[in-house]
Amino acid sequence: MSLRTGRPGQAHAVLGVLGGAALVFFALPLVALIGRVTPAELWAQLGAPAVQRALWLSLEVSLISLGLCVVFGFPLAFVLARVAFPGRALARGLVSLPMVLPPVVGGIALLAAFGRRGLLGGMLERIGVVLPFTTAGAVLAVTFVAMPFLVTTLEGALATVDPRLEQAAATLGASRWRVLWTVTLPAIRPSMAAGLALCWARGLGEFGATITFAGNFEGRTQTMPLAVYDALQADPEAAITLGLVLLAVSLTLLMALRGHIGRRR
Amino acid sequence: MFRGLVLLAGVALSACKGEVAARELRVSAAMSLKEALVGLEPDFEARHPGVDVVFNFAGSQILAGQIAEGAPVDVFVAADEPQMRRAIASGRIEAAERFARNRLVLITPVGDSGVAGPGDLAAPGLRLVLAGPSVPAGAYARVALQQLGVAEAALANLVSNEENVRGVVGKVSAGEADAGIVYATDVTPAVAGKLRVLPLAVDVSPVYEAAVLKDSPQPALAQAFVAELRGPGGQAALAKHGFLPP
Amino acid sequence: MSLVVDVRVQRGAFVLELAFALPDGCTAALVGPNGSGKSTLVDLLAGLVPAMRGSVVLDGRVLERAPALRVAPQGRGLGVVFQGLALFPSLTALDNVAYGLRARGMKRAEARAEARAWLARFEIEALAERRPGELSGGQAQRVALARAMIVRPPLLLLDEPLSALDVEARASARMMLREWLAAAPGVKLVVTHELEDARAVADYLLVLEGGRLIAQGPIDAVLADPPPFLAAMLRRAG
Repeated sequence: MSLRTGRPGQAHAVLGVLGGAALVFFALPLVALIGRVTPAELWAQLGAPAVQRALWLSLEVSLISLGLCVVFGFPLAFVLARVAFPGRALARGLVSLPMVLPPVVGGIALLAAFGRRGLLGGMLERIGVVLPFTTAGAVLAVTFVAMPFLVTTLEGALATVDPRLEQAAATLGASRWRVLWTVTLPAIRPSMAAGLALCWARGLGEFGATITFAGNFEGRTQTMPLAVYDALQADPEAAITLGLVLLAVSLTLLMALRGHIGRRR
Repeated sequence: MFRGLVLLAGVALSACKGEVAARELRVSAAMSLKEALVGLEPDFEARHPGVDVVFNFAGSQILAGQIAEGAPVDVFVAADEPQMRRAIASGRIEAAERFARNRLVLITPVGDSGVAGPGDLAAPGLRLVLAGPSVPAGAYARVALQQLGVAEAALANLVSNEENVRGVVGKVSAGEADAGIVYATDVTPAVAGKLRVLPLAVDVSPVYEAAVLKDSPQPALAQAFVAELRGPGGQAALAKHGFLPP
Repeated sequence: MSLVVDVRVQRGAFVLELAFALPDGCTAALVGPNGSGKSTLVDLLAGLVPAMRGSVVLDGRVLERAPALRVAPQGRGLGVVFQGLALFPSLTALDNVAYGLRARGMKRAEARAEARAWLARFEIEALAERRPGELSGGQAQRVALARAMIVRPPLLLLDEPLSALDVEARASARMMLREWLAAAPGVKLVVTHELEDARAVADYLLVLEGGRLIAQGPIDAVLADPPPFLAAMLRRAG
C-alpha cells in the first residue's frame, strides 16, 4: 500500500528505519547467543541425558496443556463471543487475568487453590490427586498461563465471523454442529493458527508459575526453562547452549504449526 | 535473580550518568543473611552519613555467577566457600574474610506431619524439599543427610530443588512439603509460628565469608562494611538473628 | 394456496405487520423503500427472527405459530439467497452449491455431481474449483442462486439478487433470472428496490412501506393503480 499524502518517500524511510531497528532489537540477542556456542557444543548438549529429559518433558507438558487449552478454551471462547450472559464482562476480565499477572503470582494463586492446604487441596488429596510437585501440576500451571492467549484470540475471531454465513448454512439445513465444523471453524482458521501458536509458545516458555506450583525436579517438573535457569546458576555456558536448544526446537515447531494450519488448503 | 538483574540494569543506567547517586554501597549477599543485614543497615548508614547501602539478596550461586559476568558490586557476602572461591576465580576478588557461622535444622509444618526426627525422612511417600545442589544450603543439607546415614532414602523422597533456601522455608511453611533442611536463622519470627524445628546432630559448618571487589569504586567504604560485619556491632546483630561467631 | 403468512414481527422499535398468500408456482416481487421491512420479512420466513403473533404456513405445513410453535431454519427446507450472498469463503464454488445436499446426508460424490450439473445450467461450470473470493459479482450471484435452488425448496427467497451487477449486466441477468425462476417449482419471493427487476421476473407484486403492505396483487393490476411512492418510482423508471 502506498501512502498517497505528502511525501511518500519520507514516510517509507521513517517506517523502514523504525521497523528495521525493531528487527535488529529482536535479532541481536539471538545472534549473540548463536555466536557463543559452537555446533559441537550444541550437539553434545543435545545428547546429554538431563537435557533430553528436560526437552521431552517440555514437549510433553506443553502439548498436553495445548490439548487442554483447545478442549476447554474453545467452548469458553465461543460462549464469551456469542452468548450474552450477565457478568460476561467480568468473565472476560477473569480470563485475561493470567496474562497480566506475574507468572510467579499465578503459581502462588494455584497453590492457594490446588495446594495441599489450598481451597480444593483437601478434597483432591482425599481422592488421591496431588498436584504440586507433579508433572500434572506442571501441566496445570502451564495451562493456567497459556489458555487465555488462545481464548482471547479465538473470541476476537469468532466475534468477527459474518453471522450471515452461519445463517445461510442453517437455512440450507445444516445442524449446529455441521455449521460449526464446516463454516465457523474454517472462517477463523488463520486466527486459530495464530492463537494455537501463541498459546503453545507461551506454554513452552513458562517458568514462574511452574517453578512455584510444581517445583523443580528433573524428569518430573523440570521443563526446559527451569533447566536453563538451573544451568545458569552452576554453568552459564551450558545455560546458553540449552537456551539455544530450546529456541531451535520452538522455532521449528512454531513455523510448522503456522504453516500447516494457517495456510488455506 | 530477577531482582539482581533489575539492580544490574538500574546500576548500569545510573553508571551511564557518570556518577553514583548519593554514594551507594552495593552489597550482594546470600539470602539467608537478609534479616540480619537489613537490621545492620541503619547503624552503618548512621556512622557513614551520605551513604546508602543497597542490597542484592539471592542464592550465593546466583550472586557468584553475576560477579563472574561483571556485575558492578562493591561487597560480596557468600554462604559457603565454593561460591566465594568461584567469585575469587573470576579475578575480581583478592581474598575473603570469615565473619559468621550457621547451623542446619530440620523443619516440618506445624501440626501432625509424621516427622519426629531425621530417621523419618526415609519414610516412603514423604515429600522432602531442599535447596538445589549448587545452592550452599542445598550442598550443606546433602552433606548432613550423608552424615545421618539417610541420604539415599531421603533423596528418593526429594520433590523439588529450590533456587534459594527461603524457597524451602516457603514450601514447608505452606504445608506443601512435609520436611525441609534449612539454616537455623531462616526460622524468622514471620514463619516461626508455622514451623516445627528439629535440631540436627551433624558436623556441618555453614561458613559465611565477605569480600571487597577489587574494582569497587569505593574500596575504603567497602572495607569498612566488611569490618563492620566482623566488629562488635555486626556480631551482635548477627547473634541476635541466630548466627554463630566465625 | 402454498404460502400463507399472517404475522406481526418486532425488531427493536420496528414493527412489521402483514398478511398475504401466494399460490404454488408463483413468482412474487416484494418492493418497498429502504427501511420498510423487506429484509425483516425474509428473516422471518427463513426462521431467523420470531413472530410475535400470527402464523406462517407453507404447503399446508405450519412453519410458525406464535408464540409456541417455531420450526428452526434447519428444518424449514427453504432456499435463501441473502443480500451479500454469504457464500462460504473456505469452500469452492462446487462445494458451496453442494452444501445443502451434503447437509441432507447425500454422499459427497453424488452431491458434487449434481452440483456440477447445476453449475452447468447456470453456465459457470468452468468456475467449479474457484473460491468465492475469485469470482466476479455476477458469477458469485449465480453460485448463490444454484446453492439455494439445488435443494428444490418449496419456497425460494431472493434478497436483492441483482444488486451486485452493474446496469448493463443487470438487463441480461434479469432475463436469465426470469427463465430460471419460471422453471423452478414452488413459491418464489424476490425482494428488490428496483421496479424493473420486479416487472421482469414477477407475476405478483407485494408493496411494503413502513412495515405494512400497502398494496398486493397481480403485478399488472397493482402497477395500474399504484400507491403514491410506487407511482414516484414508476415516474423515475420512466
